[in-house]
Amino acid sequence: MFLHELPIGECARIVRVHGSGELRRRLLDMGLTPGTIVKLLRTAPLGDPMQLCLRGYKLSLRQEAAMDIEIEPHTWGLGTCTRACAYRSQDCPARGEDSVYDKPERKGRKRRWGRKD
Amino acid sequence: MGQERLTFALMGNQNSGKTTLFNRLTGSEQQVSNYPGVTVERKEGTMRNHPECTIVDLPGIYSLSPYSPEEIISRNFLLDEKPDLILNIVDATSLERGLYLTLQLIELDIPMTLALNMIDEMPALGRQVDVKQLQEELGIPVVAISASLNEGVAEYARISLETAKNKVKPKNPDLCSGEVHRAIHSIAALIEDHAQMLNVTPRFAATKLVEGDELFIPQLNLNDNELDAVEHIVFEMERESGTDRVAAIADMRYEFISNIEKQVLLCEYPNYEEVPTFSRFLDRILLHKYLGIPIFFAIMAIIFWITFGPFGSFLSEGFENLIMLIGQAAGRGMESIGINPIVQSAVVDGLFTGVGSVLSFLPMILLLFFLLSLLEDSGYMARIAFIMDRLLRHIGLSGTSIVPLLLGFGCTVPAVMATRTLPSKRDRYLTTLLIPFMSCSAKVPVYGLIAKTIFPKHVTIVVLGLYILGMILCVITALILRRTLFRGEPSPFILELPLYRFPSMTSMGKLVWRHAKEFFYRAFTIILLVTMVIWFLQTFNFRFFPAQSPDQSMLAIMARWISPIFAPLGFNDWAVTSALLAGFTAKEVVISALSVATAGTAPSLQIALTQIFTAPAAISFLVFILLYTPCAAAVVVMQRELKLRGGFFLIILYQTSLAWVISWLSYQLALLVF
Repeated sequence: MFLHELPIGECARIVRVHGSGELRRRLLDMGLTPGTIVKLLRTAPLGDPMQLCLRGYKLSLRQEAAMDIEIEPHTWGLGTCTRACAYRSQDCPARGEDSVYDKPERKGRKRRWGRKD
Repeated sequence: MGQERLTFALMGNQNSGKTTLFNRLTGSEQQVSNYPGVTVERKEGTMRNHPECTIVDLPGIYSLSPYSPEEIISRNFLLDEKPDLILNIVDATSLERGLYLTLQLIELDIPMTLALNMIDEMPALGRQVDVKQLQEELGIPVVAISASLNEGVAEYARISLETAKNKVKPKNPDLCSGEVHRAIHSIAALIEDHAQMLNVTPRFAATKLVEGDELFIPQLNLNDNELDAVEHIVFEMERESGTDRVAAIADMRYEFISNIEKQVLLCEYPNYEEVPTFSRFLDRILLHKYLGIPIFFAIMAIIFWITFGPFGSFLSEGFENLIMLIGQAAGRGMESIGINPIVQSAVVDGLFTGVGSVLSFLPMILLLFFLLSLLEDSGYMARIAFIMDRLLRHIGLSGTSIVPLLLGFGCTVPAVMATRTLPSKRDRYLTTLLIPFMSCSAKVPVYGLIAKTIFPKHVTIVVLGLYILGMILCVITALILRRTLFRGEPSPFILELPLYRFPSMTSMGKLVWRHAKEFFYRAFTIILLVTMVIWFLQTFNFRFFPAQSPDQSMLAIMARWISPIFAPLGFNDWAVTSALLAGFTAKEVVISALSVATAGTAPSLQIALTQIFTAPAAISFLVFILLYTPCAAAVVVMQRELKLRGGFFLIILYQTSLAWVISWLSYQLALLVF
């Protein structure tokens, strides 16, 4: 799976950044290293570029670059994944049972996070 | 306390607040904003109360492996000039990415202190940093500051000076782990003597070798055997870690940072996006799938409406009346004490009519600058780049090019400078060539005056139409250029979207004041000078006697040689021709030159203009003003960035002939309509 295939609002873990040269190095320097959790926040009004959240900040890049970024689906085991941006895999301190995110959803609002499986 | 000279280099990510800190430390007033990469040249200043200490503000970088020219400037400064201390500034709200650069700087083994900036924004994000622990982990002094609120800055300056004077190097320059650590150490041992010749630490040289830095490796001058050995070590490392060299190093650094961060960063909301901040809320609206683009156009429309609509004209008229009153008073005063009529004419017609007609547009120009920098300071500019990237790619540019183009509405000179933030040479060239189509604020007086006189009922439409025409021609030019001179793909778009920030009113006030000062300065130097020259040429004939009528003046005779060129455009008039020529020095001069040149022939400039211009001729004149050669200052800056052979004349020739053709077309079109 590659980053451009990730649905909006979902998280993923980076497996590898393919491609070569400057673009790749830049992506790595910006923190898109293997194991990093990213969340796709939205795409621009015209569908491209996309806005990501990772390592506690927001980054935007094009679909084109996203096609070089191999990812794997990421779940926390406790249902939802989106609390991850600033953290890597198991290090998330909010992994506890009663984190703020497991509160019941408000009525009439679509569940924004949570994977359909 | 020795009085030896100290040099501090200010390093940090783009948009981490370097320039704000620089202004705080030095007391100077460099321009700052909330857009990544505003500083494109290095700037120097001396520290407040410490004249022996020079601070160099360098362009923001994310890493020491350089891509764009401003990143190379920063890196070369560190490697070649060996500052006494690195002031490393890190945006606490994106701590990990900031520390990535910090780790690389520590490798250089130069004394260093870290300023943890924007600490005041952390509570809103539900985050907290343990500064003591961070200092412990990094082995360099760390001070939490807020450059914009001026908190902790004095403390930071004190600690930095102390560190520099005692030459305290980073305690722990060897920040790495795992396979990469082994590779770096074996290479460092191998190339120690080469690194020493270059006067860098073996550790830094080794990292660059592992990374495969094309710029740095040739400088090391390794022989084939050594290069082979290095390659072998790197190959082993790649095999063991299961990834390639570039990724391995980046990964190792971020791994290291994650470990530090776990100990120093306390998060209430671990997921940044879940923090109910104002930024998140604004992004939802401003970057909305369907609303995003309409909102952008609406914002731009509002900016132009405020500037050129009722509000801007009201301010301008008020200011104009004020200048006129002063001018009349000065005229009466001189008459009452019986001063030579030629001097009177110089002061009233030259100074007040000429320079005053330009000055009256100052409020409009300041308003435009103010609103444009509001976009920049709030953080919306980066969003514009994000929204517009797709559209701009159709014309061969990337979203980041929108920033220089929008700044072009203010002034071409800073706009061209801003192209340096673009990552590829191709994008920089193309954008630079397109900036003149964005009508600069110096043309506002010309549009305003002609439109008010000839089309009194449709001022806003005429002015807006000119702006839109400029943009349409910009798109057409871009399409042609991308298929001819600038083939290839626009550069990749990787841009950090900063948090929205409320623009600080003091910094906005300072900005407006600076532009006002600059405008006054120009008004009383170049504009005054050119106006006086025009006045002189218009008043005297070739035998240096006052001409009987302006028709026989030097100016009229000289301009008549050239003005037939403009006959097909509808304005074969010597006054207009001389104004256009004078306009090359600065666009505002067109108005002052026109008013001076017509001073003897008609009771007022407005009446003179209605005599010269029919409606179609006025349109073609305005189009010509929109497109013809940028002013001298702009052409010089463009040439500096383009480095074309004969570029100076090419730009002038190209823009002017294009202006002629388009003006001719619009004149013919206007003749059909009216």
